[in-house]
Amino acid sequence: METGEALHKFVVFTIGSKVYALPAEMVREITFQEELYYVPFVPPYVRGYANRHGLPYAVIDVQVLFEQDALENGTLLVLNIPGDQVALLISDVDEIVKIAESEIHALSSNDESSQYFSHSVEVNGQEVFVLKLETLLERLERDIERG
Amino acid sequence: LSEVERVRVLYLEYGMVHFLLDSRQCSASAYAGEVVQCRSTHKYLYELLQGGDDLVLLFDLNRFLCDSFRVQHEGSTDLAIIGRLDRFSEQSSRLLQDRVFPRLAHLDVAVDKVAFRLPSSAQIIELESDVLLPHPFSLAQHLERYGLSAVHMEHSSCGFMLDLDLLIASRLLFSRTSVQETDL
Repeated sequence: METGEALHKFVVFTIGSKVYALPAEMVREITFQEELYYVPFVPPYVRGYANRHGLPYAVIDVQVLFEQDALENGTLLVLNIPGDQVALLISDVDEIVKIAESEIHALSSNDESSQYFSHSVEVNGQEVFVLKLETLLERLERDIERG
Repeated sequence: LSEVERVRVLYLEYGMVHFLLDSRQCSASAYAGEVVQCRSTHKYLYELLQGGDDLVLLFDLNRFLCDSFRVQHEGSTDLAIIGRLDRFSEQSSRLLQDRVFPRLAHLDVAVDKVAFRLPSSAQIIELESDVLLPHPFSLAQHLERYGLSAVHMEHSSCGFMLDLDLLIASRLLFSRTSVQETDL
């Protein structure tokens, strides 16, 4: 495909039966999770800490946040957030794709759930929502403040 | 090269999770087998340690850790460590002086110290301070406020450094059961 159009790399992954994506530069590492250590006094979607290279990473279970249903176990997407140590618990990574600018779409819906997504991308003919990490972290901050 | 400070901590093992207590917050230890039971609605504050001539308020830290961190401890919990209130913050001292000790005045309870029940297997170890890690930024301030002051990662265990002063000040150790009102 020699269109001269800019290409953006995305990690496409599943959480339960849902497919989501994240810009590849937001993902530092993909790893199979062996042990999660429970942390008290935090919202239920923070499933605990994972030990990555000797550092504690807060593991967020997006399925708890979206569907109040904990993901059994799976893979960790260790996020690339400067100054913070956060990972997402996911079911599996589907693929890493390069997507042309023209296939990245703004979201039209303004409903409450759409705040967690920045765009949608077309992957193999399917519309996949791109998670908006800022909103996830803002939600965490808000829930913690509320106690 | 700067020298890394070494800290003495009490190490409490609960399977895959461990806890660390700063030894500077513990002035003495005692056998916690001799206690006086109180009628109490508190989950972690229902007994007094018989320590010589004194009765000392005894928090069941073991039970608090089991409930809060979803861990279990098999074995005896007959160790008590004693913390002097003059080493604690004004906030937690005042909380005890104003809210708790007056209710126990009839029992002649010491008002300058408190005790914490721990597993008998607790050990004192020395660590280099740089192995005590901050919590991830998103949670750090919140957890530190609750007395979880640092994280200590081992190969197959995750540790939490606890600040006894903040556990009192945050009132976590004053959680109540649903049982009827009594002494405390």
